Amino acid sequence: MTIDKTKGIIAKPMPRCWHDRMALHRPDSDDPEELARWELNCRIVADKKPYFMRYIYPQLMRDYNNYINTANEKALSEHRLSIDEMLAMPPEELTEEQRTCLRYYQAKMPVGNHDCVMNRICRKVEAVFGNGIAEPDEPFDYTVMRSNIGYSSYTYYAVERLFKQYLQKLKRFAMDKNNIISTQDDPVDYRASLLAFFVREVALVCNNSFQMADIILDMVYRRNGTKQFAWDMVSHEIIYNLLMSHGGKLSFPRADPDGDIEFMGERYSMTQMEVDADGYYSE
Amino acid sequence: MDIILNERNWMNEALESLSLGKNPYETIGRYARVMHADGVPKDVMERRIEEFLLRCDSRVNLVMWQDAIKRAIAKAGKYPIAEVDGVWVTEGELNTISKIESKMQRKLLFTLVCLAKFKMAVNPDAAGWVNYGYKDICNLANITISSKRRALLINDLYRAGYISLSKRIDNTSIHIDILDDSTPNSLFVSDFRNLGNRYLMHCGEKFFECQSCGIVIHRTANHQTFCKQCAEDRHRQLANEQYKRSIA
Repeated sequence: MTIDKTKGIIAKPMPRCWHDRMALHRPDSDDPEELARWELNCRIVADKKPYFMRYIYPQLMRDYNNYINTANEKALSEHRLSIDEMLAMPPEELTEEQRTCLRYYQAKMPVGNHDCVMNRICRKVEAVFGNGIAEPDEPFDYTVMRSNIGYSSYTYYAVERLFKQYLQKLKRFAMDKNNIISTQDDPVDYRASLLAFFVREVALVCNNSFQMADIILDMVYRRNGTKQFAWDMVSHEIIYNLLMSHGGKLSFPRADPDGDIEFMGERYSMTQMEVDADGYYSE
Repeated sequence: MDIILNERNWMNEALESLSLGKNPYETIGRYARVMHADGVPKDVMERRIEEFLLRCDSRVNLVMWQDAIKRAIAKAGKYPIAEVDGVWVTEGELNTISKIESKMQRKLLFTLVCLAKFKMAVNPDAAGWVNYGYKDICNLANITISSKRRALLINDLYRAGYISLSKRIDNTSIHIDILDDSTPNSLFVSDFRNLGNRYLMHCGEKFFECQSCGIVIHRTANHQTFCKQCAEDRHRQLANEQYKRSIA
C-alpha cells in the first residue's frame, strides 16, 4: 500500500480491522452469527508480519531478537527455565504459571510463526545455515596467494603497528559517525584517504611490494576479521601470485556459438591464455 | 549505564564545558527536560538546543538533528528531572540484606534497593519498581556473570521473596518488596558508581573511596588513597610541578 502511494497510485486503503486487532470490537448483540464472524475475524486478523519477513525488514529482526532475549530472561528469572526448555517439556509436566507464560509468549510474539509454506522454507534454510553464513568444512588456505619471498620480523612488526593504527582510525571514525554530530565526512572518501596515507607509510617501511603482500596476507588471514584490507592494498600482487602458481595459465569462458557451456541463453567455451612474468600474454 | 543523580547540575556542567557526553541524544533530551522544568517555551527550547549543538561542534549539520531535537522537546514533559543528592538506605533494609548468605545476592539486592529509592525520589509513582535491564543492574552491582546466571540470580531473590516481577512476558521490571522506611536511616548513598563495592565497603571489606573522584574500588595496598586513573593524573601533576621547580 505504501509502495503504491509512493508511486502515485491511488489505492483504496485496507479496512483497519484487517490488520489491527484493536479495531475488532466484540458485537453488542448476542447473535450467534455475528459472534462467530467476530471470532473468525479475531483468528485471521493480519496484525503481524510472518516469521520469514524478519530477514527482509531489519527493524522486525531487531524487535524479534529483543523479544526473544527479554522473554528468555524473564522466563529464567521467574521459572528458572528458558522458553526453549519449557517448549521442549511435555505439556502435562508444565505448571499452570508456565503454561500461562508460554501462552503469552506466543500471543505477544512480534512475528507470526505459524507453519505456513514460507516459514517452513525459512526454517529449513536456517537449519542448514544457522543464523549466518555456514562455516566452510576446511579452513581456507591463504598461502596459495603468497609469493613466499620471506621477510624479517622487524619489517613485519613495523607494518603491523601501522595496520593497527589504521584499524583504530577506522574504528574511531565509525564511532564518530554514530555518536558525534558531525556528518560532513563521507565514509568512502575517508576510507580511501586513510588507505592512501597507509600505502605511503608502509612504502617507507617495506619497499618490496611482494614482501609487503606476504606480510599483509599473514597479518590479515591469521586474525578473525575483514580481509578487505588485503584486497585494497595488494590485490595486484595476489592475482599475480595466483597466476604464477597456476603456471601462468589463465582460464575463462568466452562467447562461442558452438561452446559447451550454456549460461542465460548464451553459449560459451573455456579458453586458456598464458601470461608470462612480465605480463605479456598469448593464447 | 551511568546514573545521574542531579541532572540539572550535570547539564550546567555540560553547558559550561561544551560537552555532549557519551550519548549526544541523551544529552539533548536531558537539556530539553531541564528547560521544561524551568518553564521554557518550546520554540526557545529548540533554539537553545541548536545553539548548544553549534557551540559544541561548529560543523554540526542541524538539518540532520531536527527530528532528534523535535522528539526530545516533545518528550520533555513526560518524566520529571532527577534532582537528588543521594538516597538513604534504612537499618531495616540493611538488616534484611545482611541475612542473605550469598555475597553476590547481597550486592545485587543492595543495588536494587538503591535504584528503587532513587526512582522513587525522582518520581513517587515509581512505587518501588526498577526498570533497568538485568545487565545494567549487574554492572552497577559489580557482578560479572553470564546472562543466564544473571537471570538465575534474580530468580534466587524472587524465590526468597525479596523481589517480585512484572507479569508481562516482555517486561523485565523488578519490584523491591523489602523497602522499609519505618526504621531509622543508616547509609547515605550519594554516588551510584560501583554500588556493589560500596555495599561491601560498608560491610567492612577491603574497599576504599578514591579521594579525588569518589569511586569505590578494591584496596590492593595498605595506604591507597586514589584509584588507578586519579593516581596516574596525580603522579603526572606532581612530576610537572617538580620539573617546573627544578628549572625555576
